[in-house]
Amino acid sequence: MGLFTQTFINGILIGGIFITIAVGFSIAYGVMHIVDFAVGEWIMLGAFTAFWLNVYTKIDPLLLIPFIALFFALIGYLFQPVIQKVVNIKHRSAAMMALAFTFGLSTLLRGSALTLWGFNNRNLVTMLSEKNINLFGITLPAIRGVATLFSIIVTAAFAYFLYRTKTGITIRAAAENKTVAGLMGIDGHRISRLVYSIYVGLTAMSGVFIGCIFSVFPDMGLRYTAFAFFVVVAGGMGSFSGAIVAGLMLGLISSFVSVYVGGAYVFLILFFILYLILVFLPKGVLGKGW
Amino acid sequence: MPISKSFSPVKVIVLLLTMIVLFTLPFLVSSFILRIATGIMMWIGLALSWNMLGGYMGYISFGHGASFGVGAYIAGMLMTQLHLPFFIALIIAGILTYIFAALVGYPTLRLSGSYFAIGTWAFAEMMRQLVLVLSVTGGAEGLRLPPMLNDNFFYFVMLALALIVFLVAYLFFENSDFGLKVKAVREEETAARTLGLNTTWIKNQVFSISSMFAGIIGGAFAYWITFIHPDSVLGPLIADQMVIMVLLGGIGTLFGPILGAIVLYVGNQYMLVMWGQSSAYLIILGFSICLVILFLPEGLLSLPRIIKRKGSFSRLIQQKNQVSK
Amino acid sequence: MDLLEIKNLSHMFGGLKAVSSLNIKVKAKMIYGVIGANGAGKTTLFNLITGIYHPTEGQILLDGTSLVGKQSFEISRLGVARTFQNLRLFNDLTVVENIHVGQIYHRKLRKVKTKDLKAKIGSLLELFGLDSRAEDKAGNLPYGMQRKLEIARALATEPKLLLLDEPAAGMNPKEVQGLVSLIKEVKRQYCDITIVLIEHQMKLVEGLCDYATVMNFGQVIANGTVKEVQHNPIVIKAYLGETEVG
Repeated sequence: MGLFTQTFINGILIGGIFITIAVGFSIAYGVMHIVDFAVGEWIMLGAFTAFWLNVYTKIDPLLLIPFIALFFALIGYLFQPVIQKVVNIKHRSAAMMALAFTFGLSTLLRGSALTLWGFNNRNLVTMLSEKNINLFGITLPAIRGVATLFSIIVTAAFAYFLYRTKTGITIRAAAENKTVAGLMGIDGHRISRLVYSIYVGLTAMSGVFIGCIFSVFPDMGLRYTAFAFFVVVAGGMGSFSGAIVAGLMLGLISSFVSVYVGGAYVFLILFFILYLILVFLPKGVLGKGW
Repeated sequence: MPISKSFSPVKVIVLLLTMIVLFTLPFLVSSFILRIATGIMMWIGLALSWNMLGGYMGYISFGHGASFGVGAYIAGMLMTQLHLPFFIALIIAGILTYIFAALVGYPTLRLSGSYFAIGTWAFAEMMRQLVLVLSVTGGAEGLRLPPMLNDNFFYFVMLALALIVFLVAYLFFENSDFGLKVKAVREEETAARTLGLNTTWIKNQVFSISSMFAGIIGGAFAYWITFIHPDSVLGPLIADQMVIMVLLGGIGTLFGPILGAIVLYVGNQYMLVMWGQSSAYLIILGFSICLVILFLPEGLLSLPRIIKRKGSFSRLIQQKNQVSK
Repeated sequence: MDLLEIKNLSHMFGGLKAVSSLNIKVKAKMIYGVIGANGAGKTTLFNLITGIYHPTEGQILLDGTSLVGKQSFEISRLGVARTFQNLRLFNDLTVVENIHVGQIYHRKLRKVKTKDLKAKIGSLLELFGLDSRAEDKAGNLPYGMQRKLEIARALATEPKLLLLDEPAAGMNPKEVQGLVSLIKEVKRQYCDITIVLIEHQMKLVEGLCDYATVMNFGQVIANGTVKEVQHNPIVIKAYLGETEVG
C-alpha cells in the first residue's frame, strides 16, 4: 500500500486526537477568556500519570483512561478558583495577566516534571502497542485507530452535550456573553468551574493516547501547546467545526512533512503556517472564530 | 514612579556614588563576582528593552528572545564568516535586528492581546527551528566565535549597553511626549488614533527599538560566551526570564525591570552555585510568576506602597475600636 | 456653508445594514443634534465619520475634503475630534496627561511653545472644573468628571468639528443642566467650532441644538430645526408608536 495513503491515514488519525484537545481548549477559552499556556502540560501529566500507574499497578494504560479523566477533572475543579481569581484581577492588562499566569503554571509544571522524572523518554506500553489493524487493505497501527475512535466518540458526546442538553446550552451562552447570561440567571462561576474541569480531564486523557502513540517525556508539553494553539487559531477560537477542520489539517501537515521533508522541519513549517494564519486569517481558516 | 524633576542633593549624591561604584567595580571585586555583575548588566538591559514593548506599550511578547538570538547569530556570523571586528559586527547586528523587527512587526502588531502573545511565541519558536536546520548558522552544531577572554572588557560592554538602554527608557519613554503616546496606545489605542496619533507607526517604532536593543545585547553575549547554539540563545528560557523579571520588579515602571533582573539573576546564580544546573530553577521561575500575578501584580516596586496602605488601614481600625469603647 | 456633508452614506456589517442612505448637512458653527433610539445607528455614524469604519457606500465631506477611506488619525488631523459613548479615557494617565495627549500632534504641526500648551491645559481644566484633580489618574475620577475630561481632551486638539457621543449618559438631571451650560460656554469660547451631538434626552437637545436629524433603524427619518422634528408626525410615530397617536 502506497506511502502516500499510509501517511494520509496516519495524518487523519492523529488529527482526531488534536481535535479533542482543541475543542476542550477552545470552550475553556470561550467561557473563561483565558488562553491556557499549560495545555501541553496537562497532556504531559496525563501521560506521566498513566505511565507511573502502569508501572506500579501493571494495569494497561488504556484501561486507566477513565480514572485519569476523572482524576484530572477533579484537579481542574479544585484548581479553577485560582484561575478565576487571576481572571478577576483589576489590572489594566487583566487578560495578559491571566495569560502570563498560565505561562508561569506551564513552566512550573514542566520544571517539576523534569526535576522529578528526568529528561529521558519513557515508553507507555499498552496491549495494543505492537498490533496493527487491517482494514480494506490499509494497515493501521491499532493504537492510533483506537485513539481516533475514542476521540470521535468523546468529541461527538461533547458536541451532543453542548448542543442538545440544557447545561450545554448554558455553557455556550456563558461563552458568548457572560454578562447577559448572568442576567438570565446563569451562574457564571459554576459554569466556569465545570468547563475547566471537563477541559483538564479531556486534555489529560488525550495525553494518555499521545503517550502511547509517541513517547512520554517532560518537555513534550511545549509541542502540544503549540499544536493546541495551531488548531484553535487556524480553526478560529470557539468554533467547533473549525476545530475539526484545523485538527485534521494539523494531523495531515505534520504527517506529510514528517515523511516527505524530514522530522526536523515539522515544527518550522507548523509554526510558520500558524504565524501566517494569525496574521492573515485572524478568524481562522473558516472565518468563524471570535 | 517617574523620577521627579527636582534635583535634590541626596539624589545627586546617590547617583554619583552609584556611577563611581559601577565604573570601578572590576578593580574592587573578584573575577567571579565581576562575571555575575556582567550578567546582571546584561539582564537589566534585556528587561528594560522588553519593558518598552510590554510595559509602556502593553504589548506582552513571549517571543522577545528571538530578537536576542537573531542579534547573537548575526554578530556571530559576521565575526566568523566575514571576520569583522566586534564593535562593527555589533553595530551591524543592531541595525539588521532593527530592520528585521520592523518587517516582522508590521503584520504582527496588528494582533492584539493574547493573539499577539501567541504570535510572538510562535514566531520565536519558528526562528529557533529555522536556525537549527540552516547550515550557515552551524545548525544543531552551534556557532563558535573567535575567543576573547577579558572579564573587564565584557563587564564594561554590558554596563555601557545597560546604561544606554536605561537612558533611552528614561528620556524617551518615562518622561516624554513620545512616552505619553506609547502609554496612550496601551490604554486606549482607538481613542489615541482619534486624537491624531499614528499608532501603527508608534507601535512599529517601539517594537523595532526594543528588539534592536535585545539584538545588540545578544551580539555582545555571543562574543562573551564564545559559543552559541539555538537552544542557548533562541530557546524559550530567554524570553521567559525577560517576562518574569519585569513582572517581578514592576511592569511599566523605570526601576521595576532593573530590580526584577537583579533579584532573579542573583537568585538563579545562587541556585547554580548551591545545587548546580537544575531544572528546579524552572519550578521557582514558574512559581514566582504565578505568585507575583496573584498577589503582587504591580511587582516588588509596589510593595512599599501596599505596606504603607495596609499600615494606615490597620491604624484606622485601631482608632475606630478605641473610639467605640 | 456646510462644514460637514454626508451624502448617501451606507454601511453594512456582514449582511446587516447598520446605516443606509444617510443624507445630513451640518452648517459651520452650529450645534447639531443626532437623535434616535438605541441601535438607530448614531454611533455607527460617528465611527464612520472618524474613520473607525470605512463605509461601504457614500460620501463624507469635511469642508469639501472627502474623509472616506482615510485613517482615524488622518481625520483627526483634518480637525475632527470626538468623545465615546462608553468612555475611552487613558485611565492610568493623569488628567493633565490625558489632555496633553490631545495636544501632542498639534504641537508638532503648529510649533506651539510649552508655555502656551500649559496655559491651554490650564484654561481647559478651569473651564471643565477639573483643576482640583489635575494630577489624579483619570481612572480614579468620579464618573461625571470623567465624561467632562473626555470632552476637554477632545477640545485640546483644537478641532473644527467636535462630535459628542451621548455626553450626558448616566448623568442625573442636575449634572445634565451643568453639561448644557458647559457646552454653551465651550461654544462661546471656541466660537468657530461646530458641534454635533448624539443624544436621546430631548431636554439636552432642546437646550443646545439649533438643528437636528432623527434616525431610526439606520435611516434618517427627519431633518430640520429642533422644533420641526419634534412636531414631525413620522418622528412622533417612531417614538411613541401608532397606538398613541389618534
